[in-house]
Amino acid sequence: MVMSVQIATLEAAELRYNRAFEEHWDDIFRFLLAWTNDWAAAEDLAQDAFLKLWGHRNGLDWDRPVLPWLIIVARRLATDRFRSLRRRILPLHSGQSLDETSRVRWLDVRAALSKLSALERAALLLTAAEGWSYADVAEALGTTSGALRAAVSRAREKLEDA
Amino acid sequence: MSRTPDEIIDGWKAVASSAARPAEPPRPTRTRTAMPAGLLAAGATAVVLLVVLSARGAGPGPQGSPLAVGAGSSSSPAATVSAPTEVAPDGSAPPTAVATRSAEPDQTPSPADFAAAKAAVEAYTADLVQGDYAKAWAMLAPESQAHWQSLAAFTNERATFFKTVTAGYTVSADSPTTSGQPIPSFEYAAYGAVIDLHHAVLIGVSYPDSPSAHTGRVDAYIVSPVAGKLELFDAP
Repeated sequence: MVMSVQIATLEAAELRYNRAFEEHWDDIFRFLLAWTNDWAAAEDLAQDAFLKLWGHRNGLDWDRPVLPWLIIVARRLATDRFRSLRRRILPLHSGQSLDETSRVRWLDVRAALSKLSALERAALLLTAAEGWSYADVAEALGTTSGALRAAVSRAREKLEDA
Repeated sequence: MSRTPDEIIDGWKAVASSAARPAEPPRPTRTRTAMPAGLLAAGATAVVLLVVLSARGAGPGPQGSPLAVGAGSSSSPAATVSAPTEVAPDGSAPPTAVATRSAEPDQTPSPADFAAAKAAVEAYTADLVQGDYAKAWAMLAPESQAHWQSLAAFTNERATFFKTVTAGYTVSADSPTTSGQPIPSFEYAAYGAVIDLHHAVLIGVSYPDSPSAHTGRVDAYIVSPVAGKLELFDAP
């Protein structure tokens, strides 16, 4: 009886993990894309974030929203020093999973956005393109609303000047 | 072609929404019993690093890095959820000192390798700060020089960057394994033919005052013995 309950619990955790993947993969990928400006890195980091979730699936309180948990994991992974070093030493091939038309478009957009810092880029894209609230973005990026608004403003100025 | 910020944002939105989700939710593929030799070596590398750093009284890794996000930030989403802790991707505990140290003690950089590599990067960076670009250039491996294409391009980029470095820098002898990343997941393919992974060390240089420091700007070098001397592998 006890064992069957444990098995049911494990299965439930796996089902919830699968559901989290269905519901939040796109959010996490785009969050990471905005931060890194690197398609392959965003895919790689999103994969790692979900692997972290998999590793914690049996200990998580699944009654709470999982997206905030995933975002903070993704942010930690994206700012992890050695992952940054790895990307700098040996950049991953960018956008291999894109078709040719999208790849050309991505390289164009990426070049324009490369003028921004990671904070400026994420602040601008998550608010303007993704439609997140300033409060949510500030929380996701670990900054204040004031700093976020300043970053968005700077980002727009830089893009206009480019 | 000049575009407005909103046009760039719309372009990003369009291409980002075209991303293909993986067919299946990610699952770990490794098991602890099937641990490859490289992973064992990575664990042993971490042990060496811990020994070195504990002797120096400093701890490596994201928590101690100026580039890391504060885990305990009250403004972060972690305040409302249970804070994630670092585990290996397969959910296993990190290798223990005893187990991995006895596994392959000869397969990892020694404390002397770390010290020599750190000294090499310190000398290289000092040359850059002093404007002796030719001397620094000579320390780079031919493969890295090829990445830079020419001494002139190297000098131009480095001189521009070091103008922004006004309050010093920090050279740290760290290992890629300290963030839980086993060596096999690091794709050394570009340099694999010449890098001696048994003695190669990853060295980071951070610039606290750099305008881009908060974005994670660091210089990183793989320092490896090649044909009897240490060479720095960098990428522009």
